[in-house]
Amino acid sequence: MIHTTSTTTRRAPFARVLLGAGLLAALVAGCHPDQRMSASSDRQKQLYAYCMQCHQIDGGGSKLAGAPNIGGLDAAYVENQLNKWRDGVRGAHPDDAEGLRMRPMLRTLAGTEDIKVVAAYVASMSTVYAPPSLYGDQEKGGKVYQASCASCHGTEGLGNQAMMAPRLAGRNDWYLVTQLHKFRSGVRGADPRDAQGAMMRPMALGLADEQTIRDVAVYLSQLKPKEM
Amino acid sequence: MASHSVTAHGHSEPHGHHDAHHEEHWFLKYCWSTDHKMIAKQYLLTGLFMALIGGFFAYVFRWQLAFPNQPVPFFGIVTPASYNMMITQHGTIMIFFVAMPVLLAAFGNYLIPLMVGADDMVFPRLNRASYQVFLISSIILIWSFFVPGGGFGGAWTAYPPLSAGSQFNLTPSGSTLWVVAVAVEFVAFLMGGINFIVTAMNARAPGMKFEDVPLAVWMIVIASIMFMMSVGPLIAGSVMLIMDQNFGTHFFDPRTGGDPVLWQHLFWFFGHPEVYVVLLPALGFLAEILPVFSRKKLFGYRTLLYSSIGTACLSFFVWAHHQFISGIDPRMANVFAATTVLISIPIAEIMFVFIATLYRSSIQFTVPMLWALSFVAEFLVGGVTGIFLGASGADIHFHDTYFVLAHFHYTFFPIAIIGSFAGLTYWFPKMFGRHLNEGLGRLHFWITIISFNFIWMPLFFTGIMGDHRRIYSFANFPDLMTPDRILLREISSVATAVMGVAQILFFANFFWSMYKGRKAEDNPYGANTLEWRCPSPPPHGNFAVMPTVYRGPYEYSHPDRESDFWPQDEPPVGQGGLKPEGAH
Amino acid sequence: MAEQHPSHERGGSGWQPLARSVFFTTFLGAVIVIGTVLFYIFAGGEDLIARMIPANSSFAGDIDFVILIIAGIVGFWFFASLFAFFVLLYQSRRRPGHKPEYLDKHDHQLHTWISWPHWLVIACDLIIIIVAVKVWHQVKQVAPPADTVIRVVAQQWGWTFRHPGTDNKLDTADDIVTIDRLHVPLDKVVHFELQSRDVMHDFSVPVFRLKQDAVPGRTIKGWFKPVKAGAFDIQCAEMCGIGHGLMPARIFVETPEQHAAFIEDSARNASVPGGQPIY
Repeated sequence: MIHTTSTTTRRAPFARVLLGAGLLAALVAGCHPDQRMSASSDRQKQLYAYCMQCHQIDGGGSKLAGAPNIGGLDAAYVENQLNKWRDGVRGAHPDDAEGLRMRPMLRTLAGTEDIKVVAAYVASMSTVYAPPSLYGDQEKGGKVYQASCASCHGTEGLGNQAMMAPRLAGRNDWYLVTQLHKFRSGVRGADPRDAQGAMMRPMALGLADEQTIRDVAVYLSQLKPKEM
Repeated sequence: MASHSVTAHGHSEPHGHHDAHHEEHWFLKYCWSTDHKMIAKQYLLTGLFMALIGGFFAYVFRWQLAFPNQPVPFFGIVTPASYNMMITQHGTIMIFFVAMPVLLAAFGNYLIPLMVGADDMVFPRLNRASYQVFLISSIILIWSFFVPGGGFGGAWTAYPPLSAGSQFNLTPSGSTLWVVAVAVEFVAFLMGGINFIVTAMNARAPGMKFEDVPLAVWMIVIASIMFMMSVGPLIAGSVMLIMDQNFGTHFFDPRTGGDPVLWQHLFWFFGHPEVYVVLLPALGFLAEILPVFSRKKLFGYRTLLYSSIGTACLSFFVWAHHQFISGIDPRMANVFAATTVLISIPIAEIMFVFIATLYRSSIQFTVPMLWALSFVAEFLVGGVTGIFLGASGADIHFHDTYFVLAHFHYTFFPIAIIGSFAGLTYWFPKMFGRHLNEGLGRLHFWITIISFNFIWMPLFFTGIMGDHRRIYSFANFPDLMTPDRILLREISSVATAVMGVAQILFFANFFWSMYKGRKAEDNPYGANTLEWRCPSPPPHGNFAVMPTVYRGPYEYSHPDRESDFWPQDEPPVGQGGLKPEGAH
Repeated sequence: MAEQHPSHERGGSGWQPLARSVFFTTFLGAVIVIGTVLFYIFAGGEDLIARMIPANSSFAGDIDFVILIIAGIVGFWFFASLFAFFVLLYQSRRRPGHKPEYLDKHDHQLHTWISWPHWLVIACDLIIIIVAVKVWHQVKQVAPPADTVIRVVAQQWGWTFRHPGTDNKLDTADDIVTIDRLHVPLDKVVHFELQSRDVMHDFSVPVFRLKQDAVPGRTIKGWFKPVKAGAFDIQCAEMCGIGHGLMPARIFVETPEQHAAFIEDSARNASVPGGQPIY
């Protein structure tokens, strides 16, 4: 929408002079690479190349970059989140440091089609488990999870596509903690357009204290559903 | 002069020149030789190899800029991370691993002993160590591209906190290896620089006074002195940066009392003299080549020498012009704008000397001469556009735009590429005993020069029109996606590819001529300086008979002589009242 | 060195052709420059830079003026040197019967022709320094009184803009915070406080000829006064990591009505920060 604003610049005279040196310009015209990748898996890999610096080649994520493991998330959820980023629903809060780093990356995806392609690729990868990076009591965490989260995210943490609740089993514990804090403070999920955020915020606020959050996060990070 | 007692070090090494004909094991010959000519060639080939990497990077990111987000032929998709990595490494490679080793180390090593009439460097083993250390630093740099996270991508200036915190640059090992590679490389050049200075001071042939020293030697010596004086702060800064990266110190971290701008001062205190460190050797080559092919005495030996020393001194007081808008006290900009603009005075003087040398001369447009003349023409563009950037008021607009890039490529390309080609084509017969192919050389020259101007002229204008550097794709900036800007970028990128392809000509010519070229005589150009008085290529130990110097290096077309040149070591003949140059 | 050449006399007429040639060069260079200047004045060239990129702030014209002054001066030197260079190349090409001369600058007459341009260069340098420093002082060292103050916070890889809201005071409850979109009123002096949360960034608005690094840990103040309504690019001009090329922002210069509407609109949705799509 910002493209519609007219900020016309008159053509530089020098550009015309250089244009006159037509030999090279003709060469330019001949060299326009306009081949779109036909094979969709090539396209997937091409687009995922933009994600790799942070989320790694196997979708295992990088704590250093604040990028979680994303392999194995279902495509609908990934697509939904990427759309939220693009629309400024997620990652457009001044205090959302990781979100603001993710937000501009959406500029490398040309549109809805690209988002679908890359979401499908993310979904096709398997979840990369990481050892716990925090201290947390998995047993207590499990109890809290089954009591307050499992109704949407599933008893095995596999998520619920109808509710757009993502798979949580195997997500990085540090990522879950950060996101729960963001939900609690309204850095994430406070936008009126964010239907899932609106549901998630009171749930996050319902967790008793910091240690409970960590317990749940560590429990989920090590949770291996039976299907595996 | 007490020169030869010092060079005697050269004889004491185990396989000295007395058994030069003895067939050495290849390992000793190539990896352990202390012959300055072997070391020079190794520096040269390493530098050329690194130039291929740096040049390939340039092609890839230029292509990405012209045709954003399309797969680049022979590379693939350029992501923001790989783009940043490539621009960073292009800058690092071209300055530290191409310009320095080729101009300063390769030619310094090759020319200084030959031009001052010594049989080797004064410290041959230090010289060998210098190359080995340089090789290690190059390997570290290339290795850094392949570590997890990839090569460092925080620009060749490596401003902290970006370069200091791996949570910011996302290249935990690449950034450390980058600093280490650069710091280790400085160690190599410190060792080389000591050698250059001491050799030129102490190992000169008998009779060679200060003003009989060829300017190429002078320039390399001044450059080495400048390098030594400026590099200290940067090595200190590099150590701090490595500690910030790996050991949790916070020299550059503002959250805990550090100051990120400190690095900028340390870096540019080195970084600006560094420009002249590579410029001066190239000017030295010109001072050799222009008189030889115009058969005329250099116009103003002293002017050139003192202007160069003046430039060298002044260049230590201009560094903050890189930081006008970086948050330093704005009043400082006034001082640095003044000192920066004043540098135009000695540089203009140097250009006047070169141009005046051509007056009433007899110019032979050989390939080295073409390169030398193109240096003058192209460097003028770089010189005058520098004034825009030094003038603080104008720099507000130009800072970090493509105008800056175009400006310094118009200085660095003449220095590092044209200067190297000039030196290489000029001394090739001496180095390898054979001539380069003249026709191929001309073809390569014209394609390179024309494509170079097509690369960078358009980018002056995109810079004025607001293209900022280090942006991996302009597609996200609506104001910058107008058709004229896109056209200018495309012209530039296609010209880059053309220039890259043209270098095949050079490498083909270079390697073919090395083995199959026309054999060169000892002094094919009729030049005066001492390197042409020994066989081509010079044997180990260089001179069969120690030369004695009687006059300055630029006595061409002397009216009292039949021949239009007058070698420095030719004893004065015909006692008809003509006094030799150096006699009192 | 050459003083020790009493026996050697250069040809009596040696310097005159050089003198003529240098004079000729200088004259021609002057003709070129004056011609160019006249051409631009009559062809509307005083806005040469503004034709390439709009000059939309109060000081943009002054900065363009510095650029054009420098262009005129160095253009003279550039074309004069290049002209002399190519003329000499042509005159001195090797050909039968043409003999090079033995000259050097220790000849005082000849030296004059190097030292005069040298003094001229110094004079030109002084003009450039004075003009540049004057504009620098006006843009970076002093500022007219502020009509409004905004805060610009850069971080990897986005811009947070804090507008003062209805009360025109920063850090009050009615502040408007936006991501990547800055709204400023037309023809008002805007002071900005520039901060960074992580690494170096640079707040650059090319159409304003405005550029200032954001240094973490510091608040750097600056000003601009937009004189043309519209939306323009804000670029980050200091390498800030892999998203450096992906953090464009837009500045909206608004008429009083538009700006009032923006403030009112934002006040209604005060609880929603940022929230604009990236494209």
